[in-house]
Amino acid sequence: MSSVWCPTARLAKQQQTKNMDEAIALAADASEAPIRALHLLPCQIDYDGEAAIDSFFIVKPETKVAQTNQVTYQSTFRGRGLRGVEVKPPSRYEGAIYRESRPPPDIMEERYLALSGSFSSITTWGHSELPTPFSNNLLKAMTWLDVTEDLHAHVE
Amino acid sequence: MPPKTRRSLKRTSSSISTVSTTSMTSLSPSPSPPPTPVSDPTTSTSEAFVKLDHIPDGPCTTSWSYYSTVPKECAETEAVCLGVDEAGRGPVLGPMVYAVSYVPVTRKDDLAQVGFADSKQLKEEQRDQLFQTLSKHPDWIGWAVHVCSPQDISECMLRRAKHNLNELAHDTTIDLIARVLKNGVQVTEVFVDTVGPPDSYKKKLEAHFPRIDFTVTKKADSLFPCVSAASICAKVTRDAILRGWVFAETGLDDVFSREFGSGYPSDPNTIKWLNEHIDRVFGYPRVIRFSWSTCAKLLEDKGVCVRWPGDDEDRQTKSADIRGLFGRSDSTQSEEGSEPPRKKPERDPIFRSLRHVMTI
Repeated sequence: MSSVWCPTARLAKQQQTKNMDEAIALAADASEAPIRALHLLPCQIDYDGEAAIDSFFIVKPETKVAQTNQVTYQSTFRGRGLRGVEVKPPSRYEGAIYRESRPPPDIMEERYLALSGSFSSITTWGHSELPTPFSNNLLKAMTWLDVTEDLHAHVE
Repeated sequence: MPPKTRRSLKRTSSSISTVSTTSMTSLSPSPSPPPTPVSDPTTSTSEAFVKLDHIPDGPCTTSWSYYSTVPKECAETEAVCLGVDEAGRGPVLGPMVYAVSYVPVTRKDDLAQVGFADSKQLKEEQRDQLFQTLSKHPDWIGWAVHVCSPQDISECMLRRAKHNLNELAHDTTIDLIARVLKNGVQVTEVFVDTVGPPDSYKKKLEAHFPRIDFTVTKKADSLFPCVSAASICAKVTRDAILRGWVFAETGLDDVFSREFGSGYPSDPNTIKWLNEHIDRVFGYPRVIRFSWSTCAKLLEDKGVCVRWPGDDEDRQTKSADIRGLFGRSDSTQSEEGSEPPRKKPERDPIFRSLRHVMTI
């Protein structure tokens, strides 16, 4: 399962076209339950499937008041302390979740991804430290979105 | 989530003076609620557990400490002796508890007379009784405990700037002594039970408290009554917390057993618990110390593989031959002065697909 930010308008357009000649087929799957929470952990878990998240993954807002207004969270995974921040897409973007129905045999083959859900925020976690754009790839990418916006903006 | 209460209800002692919530890590700031005295005489005798007043209700996720009120006789005298001991350092589960107990130097022998001798020889009921003896003499015996939660121990030992258990033990002991001094007790002699090398530990303590006379030795709990009393505070506190363990995890409280055994890997009951309560993804609830090799091995065998970025580096530096840093070795053929060839990180294929998305 991969999740990416997509410009909202473009996402809607792709759902309508459903043109199988396109490099990527996108299909909204209504049967998929809405995503309640997405977490990006600072480790690699060799597992894809159901897990007892509700029992074990306890997320608590941190009581410490930072100088910024950002709410930070704390949790643990496998005994390690985690600190996290919630990331929301910039305006005009929304979170989309894709499933790959049949992985390509070769890395250069075209890939078929099915749109299976959407999400409005993702919590990204750092191991014992709060994630920053320097340490965390998601935050880094979010910063890059701002840069691209400026790069492609029309100059009057 | 509604606040959870301890299952055990029977109360023994009654005085509560101060409870402070502290944490060893700066990352666990949420304070656990102070103990709310619940006195319900109708249920107090039927329960098998002994609920102790100094132990806060709710799950033991953050570390905390408790200090008894300073005994009148200790406040008035200028020479107080203090004993330090610990419980639950070795086990793979539950909290590690450090305790101090202190009496006026002139009443050292009185401690032995009320029954504080070699605490390791005592049975659980005897220890519970002796703990009650402590609270019967609040005018001359003072005590304090610091409880390191298993979660804090795991976090501390597994975080990037790793802390070892010895440092943790020393820091905790220093904090306990400092706080008793701050409460106005003039401690002149301290007896410490240690598992590590006594001499370096003694020096460290003397550097922190130059005016105190330290005796650091192994098996101090059988030699000095004040260490024996501290030992009982520590052991009774740890046992009570484990007996009435409140799982912080949702929905486990009525499902998971509390038959933890002693917590030592040599105990078949502990191994049985560990085998029966493993979750492939999350491993264990927070009662377990993930940093213990017993736990790590079980998760390696039965759990899903989880890799943390920093850990691989650790392993590489450990296995690398240090001589490789100083000159040419046979395995690396790189020329002197030249940088080792750096492999360009492979781009995730998702980006290739995304290019197509953008061009639709």
